[in-house]
This record gives sequence, structure tokens and C-alpha cells, in this order.
Amino acid sequence: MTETNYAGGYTGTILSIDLTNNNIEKIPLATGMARDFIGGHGLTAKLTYDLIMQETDPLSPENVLLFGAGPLVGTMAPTGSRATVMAKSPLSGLIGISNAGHFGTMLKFAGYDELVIKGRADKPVYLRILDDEIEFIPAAHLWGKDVPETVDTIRRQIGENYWVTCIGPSGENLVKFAGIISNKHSAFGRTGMGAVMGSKNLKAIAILGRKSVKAAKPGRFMKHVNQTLDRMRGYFEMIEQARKFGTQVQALLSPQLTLTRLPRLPDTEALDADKYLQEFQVSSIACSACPVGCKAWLKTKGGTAMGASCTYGTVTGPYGVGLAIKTYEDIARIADLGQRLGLDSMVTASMISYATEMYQDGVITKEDTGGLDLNWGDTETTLELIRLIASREGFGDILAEGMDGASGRIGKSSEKYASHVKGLTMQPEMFPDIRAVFSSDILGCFVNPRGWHIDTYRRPNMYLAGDNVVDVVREWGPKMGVPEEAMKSILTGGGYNIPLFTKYSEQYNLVIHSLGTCDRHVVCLSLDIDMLANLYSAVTGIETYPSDLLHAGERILNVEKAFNIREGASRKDDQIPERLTLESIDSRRGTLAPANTDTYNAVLDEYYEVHGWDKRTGIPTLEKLNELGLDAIAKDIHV
Amino acid sequence: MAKQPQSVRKEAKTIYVYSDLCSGCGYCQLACSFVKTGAFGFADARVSIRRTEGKERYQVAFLEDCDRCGFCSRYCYYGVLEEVEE
Repeated sequence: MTETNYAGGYTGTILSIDLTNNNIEKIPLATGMARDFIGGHGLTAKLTYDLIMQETDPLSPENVLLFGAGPLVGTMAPTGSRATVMAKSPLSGLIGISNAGHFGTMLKFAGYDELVIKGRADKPVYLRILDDEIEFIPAAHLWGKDVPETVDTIRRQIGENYWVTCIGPSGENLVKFAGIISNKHSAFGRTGMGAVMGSKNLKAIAILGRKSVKAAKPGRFMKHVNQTLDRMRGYFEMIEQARKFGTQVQALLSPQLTLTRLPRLPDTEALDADKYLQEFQVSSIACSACPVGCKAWLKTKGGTAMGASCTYGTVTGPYGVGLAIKTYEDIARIADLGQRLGLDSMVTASMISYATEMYQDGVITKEDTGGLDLNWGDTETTLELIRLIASREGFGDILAEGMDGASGRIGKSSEKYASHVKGLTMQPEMFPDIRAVFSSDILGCFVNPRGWHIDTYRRPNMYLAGDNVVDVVREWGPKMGVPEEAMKSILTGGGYNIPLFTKYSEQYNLVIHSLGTCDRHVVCLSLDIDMLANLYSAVTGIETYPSDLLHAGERILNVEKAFNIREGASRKDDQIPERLTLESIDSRRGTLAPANTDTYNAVLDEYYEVHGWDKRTGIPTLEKLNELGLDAIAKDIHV
Repeated sequence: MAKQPQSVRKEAKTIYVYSDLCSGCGYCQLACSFVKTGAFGFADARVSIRRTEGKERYQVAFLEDCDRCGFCSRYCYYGVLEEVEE
């Protein structure tokens, strides 16, 4: 085993596996890399930049699939279980990023901070990782199996205690929004990482880790763990709600619903929280070391077992509100099928919504759909479309390309129905629309290097702040480590400076993702940058100031940005989709006017400026990259 | 859910176990390994969480070498491990 110099937090080892030649390398994690990029999301971003060459085909053996688990993963730091996966995304052609619980804990216990997967196996395989032992096991018998069948079969074959992370048939068939699912219920979704795994003929990764993760200063570390847990107890009611409803809790947030478009079917059960509790038997599931437990194994009273964590954010919103599926029973049937096949539920629902809208408007006909009649709220057709997408049959093969690819193949006027940012579909049924509110987290969605999604930029949820934006900025600014001078600049002129606040929000959230804790609201409320610096310093023994962590956050964002710039991305990729700038929308607050591109672009100018990025192109300047110690990257993108 | 104790042990501490409530978070195991070995892991824990085959529920049990110190129960947030005052 590789000797390392880490006193705690890190295992000190990167496991690199080449599926083309079964080569296995255990590479020591350089201390400079750990310090500069923290781990998890940050370290993975840097390795993604370093290992994936410019213009690599995302579904070729040259793409690299990387899983990273940060220094708090595997410890008792509350929610310290989140891992990040990255590769070049087949959906965007840019950096693909996804984050989920479960996988990282076992990776750390097996002795690795990072798992790097290169090449392509000749035939389907799965990986068995038992601490230092790595085995390539033929997976022909698993190819074609759905997610739960795959997990159960592998556990029967090699042992019940393995944690199994796998793809479903959609990943095998290179559906561009196929996810990777861990232990049947933690999904690495959105950016098509399952298709990358499928392109490598890698069906699953089964890990059993029997080692442990140390804290360099255990007494101090536990003091901060207990302080964080004490704070979380203060949000008891919020935790109770999160556990009871999962992300269905969003349906309870009536202010948020006034910001989205009107549901196509006003009486869909997807918005009825009481009915949700009546309809489902909920058994809580938690990621490691999580006192919240927002995932659940759900079963309807009608007997349909719906995959875990299928709640508002991932299922009832997209399918119920987005596709007007009326009952929870039907939503559960659809969710169950999508999850079994390993599809990302948000993109899948968006693609079906996109097709249905075009069909209803006569842009596409039965000739295009292979005879399918597409109507809102049609459960059986939705199930059929999901099957077709996952198997890439008929019309499903077109939808499997994602919104950008599908509109390229359909032609006609389909492009104007396609609302996406960097290939990632927007979720008007879940997230507020820029036509209703423009806030730091909404700006964050447009400029996010991974494409449209509220993740890296999600806390605080400024779109919910209403008239209280200044209070929320005052509360969260110091929590996120915004310096006093910057706070003054942010709060000059009545409201708040969206571009500048977004910058700090990005840094803070990237620190959270890199350390490996969760970004659920109640977790973020219980943490702050001082606590994170204390936890990091105590677990690693590397004394670190909050400002050091935030500086690393900025460095990480610049690496992601540089990856995209190297692929040819520019200011045009951070724009609002045209449709939102042309159409008004009906919401519960009345009709909302189209988004104003001039207003948006003025904010984008300032956003680039505060980041030290060129206003015209969005490219990080030489000075900024050098200031962050990214000299090699500066040379790459400033040829 | 009505609480039905599945095991009652009276050694150093009495701890009731309500496996039906377990979410599989493993906090008890991390706490146990930390208090017994000084590091965090599942393998060294003296409390086990076994997945119930096919049901995705969990069975929680103390292993033979568990001395019922009760540290694990302090970190159970789901009401599975409950230390009982004698």
C-alpha cells in the first residue's frame, strides 16, 4: 500500500484503473493538490481538467470518469458522505458534474480519496474493490438488468455487505442523461455520467471498505462535530419535515409555487402534501452520518414500490406538475420504471414535456413519434416513452439525445421549444423562473459550468427571500465568510449586488461540496465557514483559515470554467434560452413578461468583472489564473 | 410507528433497539469505531447494521464484543438505539 503523509481526513491515495488493459495504479495524493483543491469536488475538478484532453469524444475510451470523496467523508462530521463524479458530459460537451451520497463513504473506507476510471473494457465488466484488492469481474450476465436487479445479483455473487454503484439499461444504451445509482437510491444525475460509464462497458462498482478514516486531532474534531449537531437540533422542526417529506417539502413552500408557471393540471396530487402522507408508506433512508434522512423508500397504498428518494424535486414535480400526471399512484409507477432503468428523472420528464408540447402544437406528428399520441397526463404513453428512451428504440432514440441533440435531429421549429442551458434542461415546474425573480441563485444556474441546475450555487435560496433579501444577505454573508468590505459593496443601494453575492455563494458552496458534506438547507444553516475551517483543520491537522478554503473555492470554479473554455465555451453559453426572452408565462402571480436580455447581460458583465474574467468572452484573465496559482491552465487557455 | 423493543440487554448500560426505525445512516457504527479505536469506520464497529434481504430495511444488533458503553446511542437520530435509565 502507498505510504502517505496525511495525519487524517485524507487516505492519501488515488486509485486509477484503466479498463482497456486492466492496469491498476495507486497514486499518492500530493499534499499540494489536497491543500489547493481540498478534495471531493475540487480535487476531482482539477484531475478532470488534467486527465481529459481537449475535444475528447465524451463516449470514447479517452474520456475519464472520476469519483472523489472529500476529507470529511467517512468521518462523524454530520452528513459527511457526499461524493462527486465528473467526466466530460455527453449532454453538454463540457464538464459533467454530479454529486450524491453513499458511494464516497465506502470509497474512503477502502482507502481511496479518488477513483479514476480510464479506457474501455472489451466486454462488460464490473469492479470489485475490497480494500487493496481490485478485481475485474465479467458482467455479461448483468448487462440489460435494471438497477435493483443488478445490485441484488452482485450482492448474491460477492457478498451482502458490498455497496454497489451501477448503471441501468439506459447507461448501457448511452442515453445522454443516464445516471449512476448508488445502493439503489442515491443518484448521480443530470449530466449523463451513466452514459460515460456505459461507454466504458462498466456496469457496476462494488466496494467493501474495511479500513478507517482518522482525525488528526480527534478531541478537537469531535468538539466541532458535537457543536454542529447541537446547532442542527435547533432546527428540529425543519429536520422533521425534511424526513417526512424529503424534497416533497418544496410542495409545502407556497411562496415558491407562486414563482413557477401554473401547473398544467391544477388538481395534480403532486402539490398536495397531505395526500402525499396519506398515499405513501415512507421508510426513511439516510446517507452516512446524516441526522436528517431526507431520502425514503416509498410504497403507495396501491402497492407500487417507488424507488427511494423519489420525492418532489426528482419525481412528483417533473412528472406530476411537468407532465400533468394526476395521481401519486401513477407518478409512482412512472418513477419506479425510470429509476429501474437508471434514467435521470428531471431530464427524462423535460424531454417528454418537450415532445408533448411540440406534438400538441403540431410541430411533430405520429410520423415522428412512431405512432404515439402524445397528450398531457397520459400515464401509459409516458411509461412507453420511458421504455423507448432507455432502450433507444424508435422515437426514444431521438429523445435519448437530450434537448440539444434531439432538436438537431427533429429540425423544423423544435429548437424554439428547447429550453436548456449548456444542454441541461430547465425545470420550470421545480425552480423559479427568471421571468418571476432574478436572484443570485438564479444567476448561478445560468453561469454554472455544469449547466442549468441549482446546486453549487443553491445556498442561500435568495429566490425565496421576497422582500427580505437584505436580511437574508446580512444573515448569510458572514456565515459564508464574505469580508466586511465586500458586505458593504453587496448592500450598497437598497437591495443587494447579485453578481458579487453570487461569487461568494459559489465559493462557499464549492467548499461544502469539496469537503464532502451535504448542501440541504438545514445542513447549510447549521454550518458556516468558520465551522467548516475548524472541522477541516481538526480532521487533517492542516491548520487552515476560512479565507484559505474560500480561496480554494474560487480556484476550483476557475478550473471548471477553464475546462469549458478549452472546449470552446464562451459568453454565449451563459445566456438565457431564447424562448424565455420571447414568451410571457402565466403564474399564480399573474402573467410574467419575457426576460429582458439587456438587464441580464448588464448583470453578466458585472459577474465576469468581479470574477476577473474577460467581459466579452467570459474567459478567466491571465492575471486571475496566475493569482490563483493556476499558471499551467493560464498557458493552456491563453495560447 | 409503535415502538416494540426487539432486544433488551442489561449489561453496562441498557439499550433498547428498534430496528424498524433504522435509516441505515451508520452513525452508531462510526461512533462505536471512534470510541473503541480512535478512528472512523464500519468494520471495527461493535454494532452491526444488516440490510434485510430484498426489503431495504435494516436489522441493528450489538456484536459479542460490545460492552454496552452507550456511546453509539448518543448519535442515533432515528430513535433506533435508546439508552434506558436503570
